[in-house]
Amino acid sequence: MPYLSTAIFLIILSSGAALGVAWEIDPSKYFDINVICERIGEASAACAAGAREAGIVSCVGGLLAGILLLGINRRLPAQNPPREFGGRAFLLMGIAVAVYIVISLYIEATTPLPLNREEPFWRRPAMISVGNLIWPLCLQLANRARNFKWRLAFLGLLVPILAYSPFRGLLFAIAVFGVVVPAIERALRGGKGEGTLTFGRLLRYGGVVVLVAGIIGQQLVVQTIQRTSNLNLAGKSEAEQVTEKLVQRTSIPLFQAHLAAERSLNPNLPSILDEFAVKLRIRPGLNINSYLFADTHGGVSLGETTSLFYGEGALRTGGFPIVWTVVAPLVLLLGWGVLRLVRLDASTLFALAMWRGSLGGLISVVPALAIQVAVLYVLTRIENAGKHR
Amino acid sequence: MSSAKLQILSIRGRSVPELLALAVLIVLFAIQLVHIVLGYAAGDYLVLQGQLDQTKELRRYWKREELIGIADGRLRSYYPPFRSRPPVLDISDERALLTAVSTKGVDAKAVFSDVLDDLNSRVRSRMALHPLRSASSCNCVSPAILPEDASAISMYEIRVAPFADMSSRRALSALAPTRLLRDAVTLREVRVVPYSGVKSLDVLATLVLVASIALFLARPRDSGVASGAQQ
Repeated sequence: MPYLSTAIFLIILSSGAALGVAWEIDPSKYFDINVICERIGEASAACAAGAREAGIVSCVGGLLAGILLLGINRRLPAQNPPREFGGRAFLLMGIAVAVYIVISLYIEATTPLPLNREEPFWRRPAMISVGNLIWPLCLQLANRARNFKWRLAFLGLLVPILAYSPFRGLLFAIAVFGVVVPAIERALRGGKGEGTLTFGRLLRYGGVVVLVAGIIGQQLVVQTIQRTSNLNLAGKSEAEQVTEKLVQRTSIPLFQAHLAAERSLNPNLPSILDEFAVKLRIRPGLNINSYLFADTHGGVSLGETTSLFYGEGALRTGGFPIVWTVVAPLVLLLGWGVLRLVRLDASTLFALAMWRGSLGGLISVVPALAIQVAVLYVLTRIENAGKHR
Repeated sequence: MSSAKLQILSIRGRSVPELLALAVLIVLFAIQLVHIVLGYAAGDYLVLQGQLDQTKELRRYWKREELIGIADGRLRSYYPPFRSRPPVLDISDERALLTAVSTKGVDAKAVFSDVLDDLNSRVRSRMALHPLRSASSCNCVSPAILPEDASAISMYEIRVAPFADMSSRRALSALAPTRLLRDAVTLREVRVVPYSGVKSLDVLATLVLVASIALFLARPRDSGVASGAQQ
C-alpha cells in the first residue's frame, strides 16, 4: 500500500508541477517545446491549451486512481504474513547479477568507450533491458527481506546495476522506493519489537528521508547544470539557466502527451503487438514513444517521449483520455491486489510499473512486469521450499 | 428478489473507500458506455490519407507559417463525434501527411472534393495576399481525376500545383529557381484507412471497469476488511 500510494503521489506531483509550469510559460520561448508545437501545427496559445488539458486530465486521473487504491486495499486485502526472502533468493539473484556484470564487462572491454550518453543504448541494448528487469526485482526482494541483513544484501546487488545503467531515473527510483518509502513505513509501523510510533523513531527515519530528498534534489540541480540544451541561454546567469532548463524539463511531458493526442489518427503508428514484440526484443522496431520522439527529432528514434497515460489513452483508445488515465493504473492495482490474496507481495514491482507506466504508458511496462512477477513467484516457491525442509 | 441478492446490492458492510471507489468506477463506466454506444452507432470512419511531396526549394520559399493550418477549419466537421482535433497537414515536411475523415455512409468523393475546395480557397487567399502573386485564376489544388465511389479512392493520385497559372509562375520566377515550378507539390498515395471510433484498448478498459464494479458489488469479505485495513 505505501509503495502504490507513493507511485500515485508521484504521478499527481509531477503532473501538477508540469501543469503549473505549462500554465505560465510561452511555449515559443522553449526550443524543444516549440518544435513540438510546430510539428502539431498549432500556435503557442493553442499548443499550451492542449498541454494544459493533458495536465489536468493526468492530475484528475491520479486522484481517482488514489481513491481506487483505497478501495482495492479494502476489497482485496493482504493475507498475512506476506512471504519474505533470504538466502536462497539472494543466491539466485546474486548469480543473475554476476552474469550480468561479466557480460557487461566483456561488452565494455570489446567496444569503444561511449562518447555520449546515448551510445550505450545502441551498443548494448539487450543488456540494458536485462538490467531493467533485474533491478526492480532486487528492490522488491530488499523490501520484503527476512531481516535487515538480507535487506542490505539485496540492496547491495543494485550497486553494479546502478553503475552500469544509463538511466538517471534509476537512482531516483532506488532512493524513493528502496529507502524513503521503507523508512516512512518503518517509522509509522515499526520494525520487529519496536512497538508504537515514538518521537525518536520519527526523528531517526525522518532524518533518512530528508537526507535522501536532499541528495535527489542536489542530483537534479547538478545534472541540469551539466545538461546541454537547445535553449538560447546566452547572457543569462547560472541560476536563470537552471530555471529555464528546469521549466522545459518539467513541462515538456504535457506537450509530448498533447503531440500523441494529435497523432491519434495516424495509421502508421506502431500497434500494441508491435510494442510488445519490441519490448520483448523479438524484433527491432519502435514503440509509440520512440515513434513520437522521431517525429520531433528529424526521424532519429534514439530516445523516447514521455507521453503519459494521457498520450497512450488518446492514441490507443477512441474515447475520452480520462478513462484510460484511470483504467491503466487500475489494471496494475487489480494485479497487485490479486497477488496479495495468494500472499505474494509485489507492491514494489507494481509501484515501479505504475510510476514508469505513468511516464510512457501501460503497454510499455506490461511485458517486463509479467516477467518480474513470474520470477518473483518462482523465487517465492524456492524460498518457501527451503523453509519447510 | 431474494434476501441474498438484496444483501449483495446493499451498501451495508462496505467501507467509505470502497463506496467511493465504486462511485468512481460507475461514473467511468457510464462515460465509456456512452462512448462505445455512440461510437458504434456512428459506424466506422474513412480516413483519407496522403503523402504530400514538396521540393526543398518550395519549402524554403513558402514559409511554413503560411501553410500550416490549411487543413484546419472545414475538415473539422468530418471528425468523429468525440474528436475535436484538426487533421494533420504539416507541409513543412518533404513528405507531409494529409488526413481527412469522413463518416461511413457519407459520400467520400464529396468529402474529398470539399477537402480540395477548402485547400484551394485557402491557398488562393494566401497567394492573393502576396503582392507578387496573382491567384485569382489559380486552381491551386486540383485532382487529376476524382473517383466515382469511395472504394476507388484507394491509392489515388492527385496533383497539387499551387503555382499553375502563368501569372503566378512569372511572379514566382522572380523570386525562386525555375525548377521550383515543376511538380512543386504532389499529393499522392491517397488511401482509405478504415478507422473505428472504438479501439481495442476501449474494449479492454470496459472489461476492466466491468470486472472492478463486479468486484466491489460482491459481498464484502468480513475477515478481509480487517487485515486490509492493517496494510
